[in-house]
Amino acid sequence: MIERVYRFGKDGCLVGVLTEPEVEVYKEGTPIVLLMPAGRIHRVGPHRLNVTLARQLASLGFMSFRFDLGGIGDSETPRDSKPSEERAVDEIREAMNFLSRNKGVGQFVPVGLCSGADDAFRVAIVDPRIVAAVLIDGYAYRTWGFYARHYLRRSRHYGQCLLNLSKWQVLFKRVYSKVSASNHGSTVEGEADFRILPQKKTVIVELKKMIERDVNLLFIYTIGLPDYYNYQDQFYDMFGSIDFRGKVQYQYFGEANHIFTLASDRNRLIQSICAWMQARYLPRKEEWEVEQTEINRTALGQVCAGSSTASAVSRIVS
Amino acid sequence: MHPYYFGDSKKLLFGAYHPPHSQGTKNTGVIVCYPVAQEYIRAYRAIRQLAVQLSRAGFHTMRFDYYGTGDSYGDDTESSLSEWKANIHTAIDELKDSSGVRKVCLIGLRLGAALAAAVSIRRADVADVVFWDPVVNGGHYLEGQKTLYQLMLADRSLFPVPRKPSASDEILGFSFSGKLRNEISQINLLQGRICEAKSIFLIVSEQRDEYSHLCDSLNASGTHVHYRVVNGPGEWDRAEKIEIELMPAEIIQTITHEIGKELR
Repeated sequence: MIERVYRFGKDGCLVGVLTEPEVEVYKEGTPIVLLMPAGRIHRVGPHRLNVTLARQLASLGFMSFRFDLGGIGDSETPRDSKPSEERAVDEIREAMNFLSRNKGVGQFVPVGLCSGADDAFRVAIVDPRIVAAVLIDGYAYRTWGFYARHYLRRSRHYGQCLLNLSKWQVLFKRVYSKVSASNHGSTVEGEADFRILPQKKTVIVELKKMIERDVNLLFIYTIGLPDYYNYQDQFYDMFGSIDFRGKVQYQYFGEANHIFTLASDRNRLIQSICAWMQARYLPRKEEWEVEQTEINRTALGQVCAGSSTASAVSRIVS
Repeated sequence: MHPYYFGDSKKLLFGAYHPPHSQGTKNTGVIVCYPVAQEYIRAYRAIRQLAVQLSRAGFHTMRFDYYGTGDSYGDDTESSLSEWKANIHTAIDELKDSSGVRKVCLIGLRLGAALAAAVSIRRADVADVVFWDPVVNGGHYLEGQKTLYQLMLADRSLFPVPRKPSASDEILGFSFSGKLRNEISQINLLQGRICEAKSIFLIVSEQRDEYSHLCDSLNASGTHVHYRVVNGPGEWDRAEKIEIELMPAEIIQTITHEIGKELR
């Protein structure tokens, strides 16, 4: 593995570290993984999660780039007055432009936690170079199942009240209004919320567009969003109306906190992401070898057929 | 700012060099020594801002990640104080080679302060040291970190399902190996001659007995100490601050001002 640090963006105002696999391990044609900053934590990620993940991905043959958005870590404080969400999308695209120019790779897979997941989603909507994304504790909307579990856990506080029919009616109305409010992306009274959720119907429309574009998506949720997400299949209940066409997977880490403090949780997360990347981009060894042989045959054929394709082909066969 | 990797090719360290901006370039370089583990995460941007201010004040300034931390090579299970001290030596040589300064000032935050003290004893070219909220007693520091971890794991809003550390050497999600704990527990800045620097700045975010004792102890050893209490963020032993980024504008200003007027 080799790591190099780069300044990129306008006047080199942004900073990122590129992790490259050893030449003999590197798998040509695979996308570069973009390890997004999480909140105000700089590019190494919580408990160095991004560093460990980058090196694990490199051992499998993937390149990755972890970087700081403006005003975070080593990047310069932005001078413009753009909304931060809009600026984040621009800066992620700057990172992709930089990597495309310098590494000749045109496909990317952002991996983001919390605000990093929201940024990854937003950039995936607008940039066709995003071919897959891993969204950890990304957008979530309360469902009837969420409230059932939520109130069940608090049932000791309600006690005898729940034996009273009129109390049930009050509770039903309250949950109905909350589910409705959640679908509209608004926050619920009493929550210290710093995330702006788009309307659920908007997210559904965007998800459908991404699936049509063949973007693979892995959604991961922890117990770190107790106000939004609290059971394994909530994802299906939120977005089950969509035809996923095998492009979407979700996992629930029912013990991990939001920033994966425990090493055992982090290791599990890293294994999950690596396995998912492998399944998508690195077919099993024998399949990979067959595929490579076919690519090489095709490539050699193209080289023989005409020199105009040689530069494109040389990337495949080298 | 020039970020780059330096040092032993098998154990490369991530560093950032901030060249002086002003015309009155100082002859003394500055190395900023980070704290470690979760305190490093909290302080990363603050240390960067401090380096920017120092470069504007005319100092050749460098900061870097210790081996097995941040962007540097290595895994945190390989960490040791002896390795980190060696890293500071490497960074000093690097700064001297690249900038041409002959003397350096070490600024250390928390455990970084204890490391800076230990390195200053070994080198004649370390002219000045700044202790910023220093870890005075390693044993107390470790106990404090363990207590914070227990409080965190017991917080039902973070962990509705009770959890235990996933490894015996894990504190706040970072590995503190037996060797590292043993080395840290031996830190005691109140014992013996702990620093050979010409001048020492003790700049702290809150009044504590251990800081007053450190000041007295250093003065008694014949070193003049510039002691400043600048009320600001730090609160290193408060559980609710574990994940809160440090924004110590006033402390950064004080450090820059104090060493700016003292060092040439």
